[in-house]
Amino acid sequence: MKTRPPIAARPVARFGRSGTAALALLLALASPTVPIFAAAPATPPSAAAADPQAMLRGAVDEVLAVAYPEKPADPAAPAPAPLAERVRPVLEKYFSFELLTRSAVGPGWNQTKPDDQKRIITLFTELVIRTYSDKFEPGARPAVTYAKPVEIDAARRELPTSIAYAGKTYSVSYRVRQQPEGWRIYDVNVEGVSMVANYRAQFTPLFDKGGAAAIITAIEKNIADYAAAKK
Amino acid sequence: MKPLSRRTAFWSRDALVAFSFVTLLLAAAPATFAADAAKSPAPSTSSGQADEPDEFAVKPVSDPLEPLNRAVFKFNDGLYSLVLRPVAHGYQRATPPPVQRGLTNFFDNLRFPIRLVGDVLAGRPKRAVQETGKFLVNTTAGFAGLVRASDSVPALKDVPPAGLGTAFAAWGIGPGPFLVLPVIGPNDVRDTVGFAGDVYLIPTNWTAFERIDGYHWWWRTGIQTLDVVQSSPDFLKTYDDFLKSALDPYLAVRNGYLQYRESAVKK
Repeated sequence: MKTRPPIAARPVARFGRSGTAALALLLALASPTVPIFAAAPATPPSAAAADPQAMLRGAVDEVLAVAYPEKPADPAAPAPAPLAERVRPVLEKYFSFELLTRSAVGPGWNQTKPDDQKRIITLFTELVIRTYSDKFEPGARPAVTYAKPVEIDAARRELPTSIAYAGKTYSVSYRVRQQPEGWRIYDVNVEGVSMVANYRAQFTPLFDKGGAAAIITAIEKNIADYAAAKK
Repeated sequence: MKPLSRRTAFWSRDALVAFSFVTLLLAAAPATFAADAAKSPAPSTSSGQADEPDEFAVKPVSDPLEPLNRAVFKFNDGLYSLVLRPVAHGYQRATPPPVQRGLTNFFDNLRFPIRLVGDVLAGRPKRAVQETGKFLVNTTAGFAGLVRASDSVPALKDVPPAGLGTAFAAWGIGPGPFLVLPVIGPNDVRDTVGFAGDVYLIPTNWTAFERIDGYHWWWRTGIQTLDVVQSSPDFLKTYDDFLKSALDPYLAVRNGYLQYRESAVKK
């Protein structure tokens, strides 16, 4: 798998004028949802909004910077907050937890009262962030390589990556969707197992039996059990 | 009846082609419409429209033995906690990580015949050649398979998994009902049959082994035990990670296994 830095992330100045034009054209071709004039300045923030892979790279780099700090922790300093708390602001920036939760609940979502929806989003977000941050183990920083994005439709992309970690390689694929604020992650697929589809398979029978209340109780129980096991 | 069936056989090939064509068209039509429907409005920014296909729709699962499977699942869970967990802990404490990695690589390299036979039976000569190349590189440059030297050769990286199960799938055989096997864990009927065959393809299980001068039964038993022990930490890590985040552990593992196998046989 050959990887190149995302088009948008490469320095523009070096290419000169024709380079900028070519870049704008490439960007426009790569993401049909973006009008050409919007791509021309190609500064990192707007590029991240336009190019899903640039967004993902930014997200992964930020998460890794939090999970694997360059400087070793100062032994005199107070113990850092749990990883889940530290990565939460980063993940909230790049994930659409609302879309992720809605997709995981499935058809029952529209029959759920707004208050219950809010509660499920809050609880499920906590569960997902905890699960995600549990995957990081102390040791060498994982090396991530990015493959070519796959277009699902105009507003959705699948972004395959592979993660080399402790002598093994895992395939991790992200589903992202164009939101008003930019591209946002709404599913993570590890070795062919979609997280959202996996929760959907568990939420559906719960919802069929006890509605939104059953889902809320089940997530609350999981969070409480986990906290009890940690103590 | 006889002449009729003969006639059926006579035109069946053309009928099959025509039938496949019509089926393909029918299958493609909704997909085309769906793609158009998704493209026609301006780039959708409000998420989760009702008119777009549900990409996470729950697929029907064949699990006629669910009560029994759940019981075996519970039994396995207890067995892992009582036996496998202490074994994995002890092994991890007794061996440094490079040794653990070396052993994992060694036993993975030893399973080369499973992958070769799987790829050959599935009619995938390119992958069979890749697997052979991997085996040769890892066995020689990788010190009898202790080092995955093949990872530094781009053409030998990321070869999809193969075995009798994936070969059966390539022949068009579906997974069949979901099963939870005692000790071994989640499986389906197709992969259980494949797994039973795969076992005979692991060199340590070959009878030829017994003809080596000075062979003792505990050679084989020792190697097989070491194989189980070295694989236990990775297995438990995957299992525990899955269970910790699950709301219904049985459903989570069943869905996870089926998704994993479906993607593995599609590669």
